[in-house]
Amino acid sequence: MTDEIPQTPVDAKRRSLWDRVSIVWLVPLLALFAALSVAWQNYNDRGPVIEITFESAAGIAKDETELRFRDVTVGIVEGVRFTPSLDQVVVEVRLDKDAATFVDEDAEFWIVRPEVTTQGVSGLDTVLSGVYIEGLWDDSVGTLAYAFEGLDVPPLLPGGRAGLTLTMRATDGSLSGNTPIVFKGVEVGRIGPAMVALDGFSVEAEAVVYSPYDNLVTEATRFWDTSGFSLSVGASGAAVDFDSIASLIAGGVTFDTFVSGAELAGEGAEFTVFDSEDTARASVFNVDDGVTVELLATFDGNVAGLTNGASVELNGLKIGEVTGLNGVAETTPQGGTRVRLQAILSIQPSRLGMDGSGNAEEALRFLAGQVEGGLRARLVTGSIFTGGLKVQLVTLTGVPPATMDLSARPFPSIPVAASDITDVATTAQGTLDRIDDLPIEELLDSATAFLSNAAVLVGSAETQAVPGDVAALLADLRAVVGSQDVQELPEQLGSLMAELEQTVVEVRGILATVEEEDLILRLGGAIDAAASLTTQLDTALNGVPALIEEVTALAGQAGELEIDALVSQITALADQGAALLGSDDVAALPAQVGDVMGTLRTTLAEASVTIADLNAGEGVDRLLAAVDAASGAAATVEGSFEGVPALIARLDAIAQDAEGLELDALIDQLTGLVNSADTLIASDDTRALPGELGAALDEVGAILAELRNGGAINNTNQALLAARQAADEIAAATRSLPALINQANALIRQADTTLGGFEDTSPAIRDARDALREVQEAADAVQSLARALERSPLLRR
Amino acid sequence: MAGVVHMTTARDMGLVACTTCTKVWPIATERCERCGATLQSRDTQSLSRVWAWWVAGVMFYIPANMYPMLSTRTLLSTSEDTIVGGAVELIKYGSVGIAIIILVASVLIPIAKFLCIAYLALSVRRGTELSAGARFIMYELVEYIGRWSMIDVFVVAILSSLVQLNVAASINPGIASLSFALSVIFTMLSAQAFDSRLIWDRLDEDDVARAKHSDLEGAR
Repeated sequence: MTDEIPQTPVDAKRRSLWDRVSIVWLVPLLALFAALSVAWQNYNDRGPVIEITFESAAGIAKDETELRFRDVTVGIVEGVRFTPSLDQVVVEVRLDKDAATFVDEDAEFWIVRPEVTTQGVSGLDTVLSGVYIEGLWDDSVGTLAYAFEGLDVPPLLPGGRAGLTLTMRATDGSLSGNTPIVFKGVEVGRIGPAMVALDGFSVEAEAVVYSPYDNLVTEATRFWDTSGFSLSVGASGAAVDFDSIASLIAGGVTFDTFVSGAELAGEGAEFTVFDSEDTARASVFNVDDGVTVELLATFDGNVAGLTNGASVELNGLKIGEVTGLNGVAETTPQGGTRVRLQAILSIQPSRLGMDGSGNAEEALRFLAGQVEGGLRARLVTGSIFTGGLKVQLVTLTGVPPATMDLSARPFPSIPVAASDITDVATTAQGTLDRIDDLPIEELLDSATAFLSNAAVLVGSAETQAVPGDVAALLADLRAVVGSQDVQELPEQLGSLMAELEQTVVEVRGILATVEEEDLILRLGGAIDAAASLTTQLDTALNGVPALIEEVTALAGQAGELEIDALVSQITALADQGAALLGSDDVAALPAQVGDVMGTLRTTLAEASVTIADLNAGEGVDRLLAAVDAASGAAATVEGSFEGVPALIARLDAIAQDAEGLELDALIDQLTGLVNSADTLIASDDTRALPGELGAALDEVGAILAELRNGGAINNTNQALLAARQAADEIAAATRSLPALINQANALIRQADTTLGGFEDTSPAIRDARDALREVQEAADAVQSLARALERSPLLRR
Repeated sequence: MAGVVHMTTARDMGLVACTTCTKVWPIATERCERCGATLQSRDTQSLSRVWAWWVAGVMFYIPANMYPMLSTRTLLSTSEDTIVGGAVELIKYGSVGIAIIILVASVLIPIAKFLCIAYLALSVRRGTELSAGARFIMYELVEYIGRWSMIDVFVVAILSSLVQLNVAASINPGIASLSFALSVIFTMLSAQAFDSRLIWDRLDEDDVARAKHSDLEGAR
């Protein structure tokens, strides 16, 4: 250890570059190199910039929005600008270098945005990440293209998915865009957005069927719409039918191949979408004649009635149909505008006998040639009742020459001729006018007046009073028949007969005395007087048959009377009948008869005394004369009784008529009868009859009184003989009484049956029934009287 | 140079101190016998290393300011901000204080460091009006403060690890954060590479001339 610090030479040593430059310099150099290399690599790796034009650039942001291919980013948006016309947006996309080699002019680009549709939600990730541009290109290296037209909607076939592209077509609304194609519930394809075809008559949409399902589609495959649901109500109940909830909401198209053996459909094949499975199935068996030729016919005027599907006929043969109707505005030579009807005629060349390929042109040539020869399209009436029209291709002569315009758009146009439309409406109008001219109102007025008169007649007081009057009449009749005097008549007759018997016994005694005492001659004068009296009676009674005939005639006439007259006559008859029955004469008749009987009794009593006296007298001869006169009188009575059977026969006929008649006819007959009775009763002879009867009886009384004083007993025997004959006649007449009674019974039964058909409500009918019963009782009494007569010893002798 | 007070240095005294264990040895000693470290009176490569790190630091500082520091992705939007841009945003939203902190920590301090280191390195060769003591304090300050510039990087690292909510929001470090971190690291290395003993060397005309001469030679 020394204190001295050794002197150390300090060399200014020459330092090398490595000594002076630190190795640390590698760091910035490396950094610089790295930065430069990165920069160069970035530049080197930069792909080309392509420009894609879109309608709008919603959501696209510079340096953010990516271009993706199968969800892998292969580029980024470097700028967004407008086209010079400002109607579109140009998006500049920096492509990755390795992707750029595939982006040739077939590449397609579209913007993926979040979408919520009935088919579901798509692009949900873009809600957070923002939209991106999806690119689609094939795997072939091609020449790079720099300008593209962006798609509005994604292509139907997603990247990497194989499939069959088809074209769907529908003329009605059964084709809706953006719907799935479902086969047995599995989505096997999609239909793109539907567009109205260029011709304006149908809807077209592109569709794809994904592989491997494209093997299901053949040329005979039929597509139909399954959206919505169908409701059917039948015997087995109601059925709601829909394909699936998804297709119910979103719609859908399904297909089936009803016929096997057809070739697989080619790329881009066209299919028609039917509205239902039924029509689709039916279309399989429709003779589809392949290619159709569309013609355009423009008709003048208002032609309502032509519809889609109306047939197109050539010489009566249907060769096609109307597939579209349209109006077309035209400028008239006058400068105005008018609308004409344009119809698309779809003609099937095979119906014209032109088969094979290329037949469409052939058919057009054929039709064009025909048009030169005068073929025209015109509208004719297809159905008179519906007013439906059809198109007729007809060859007309004398039409101005025309040619078919083959260059017309959208279809060749065929010249038209004036329509031949039968207007059924006009004919019907004429018929209706004639019907309108008929005097229906006058007819109705007459009928109304007639009915009013009938109502007045029916409602008149007279008509309504008829039943009441009839009832009153019947009541009066019953009162007459049931009166005490009439009831007592048979008894009085009976007692009269008994007394007559006694008188005859006494007369026998007198006659015996007369024979002894020869006083009969004195009686002759009295008998002669009686004879003359009897003769008078005879003449008086002579009127009776005439009367009966008149009654018969009246009865005949009565049937012809009208109801009006009947009503009044019945009323009058009822009045007269009532008056007659109520008259003093009639009322006094039974009493007079009684008196006559009494007188007869006293006369007989006196006669017996006289006869007792005669036993000593000479009046028997006269008596015999008187008896002769009595015999004549009895004969007259017999003659007068001869009319009775006729009357009875007549009554019988009337009764038989009544049997066959309804109540109306019965009333008619009754009316006639009552009329006749009225006339009879009202006649003076009838009225005088009681008086004459009374006078005759008085005269009998006087004769008997004379007999009592005279001595005309001589004729008594003859008289008695005549009386015996008269009694025989009476008996004979009486023998016809049972027949009469039977007839009356029949009549009464008939009347009873007829009246029994009615309800007991009417008092008239009740009265009539009572009256008939009274009549029956009276008949019974007459019958018993007849029996009493038969039993009487006088008659038996 | 007026005002420059020449002090006696260890080198003048023929001594050299071990920078590792601080034992003083005669200047000729090549290796510290106590700790085995190579003894060097003056690090001849010091300035070269300083400038190398300095250049690297500056190089990385450029992208650190040009590229986004943070990539903040929320549900609907993604925002990327550079350091200055973020500070401007903050000012726009009224957070002036935070903006100042960011600006100071991420812009002012790094730039000041670059300037300070460059000044120190230049002043060793060219001389300066600033006293050696002041320059030493400056050096100490730069070395002390340099590590705090990493606060930005830490904030980014913490945010990135914490805010990772997948769909809702996420914060990812941008390119700038990495280059900023590297820039800070290189700056710190640059400051560390500076041999502070050079400050004390006398800078007389001869030295200056010699230095020029040697530079020319070195260039040759």
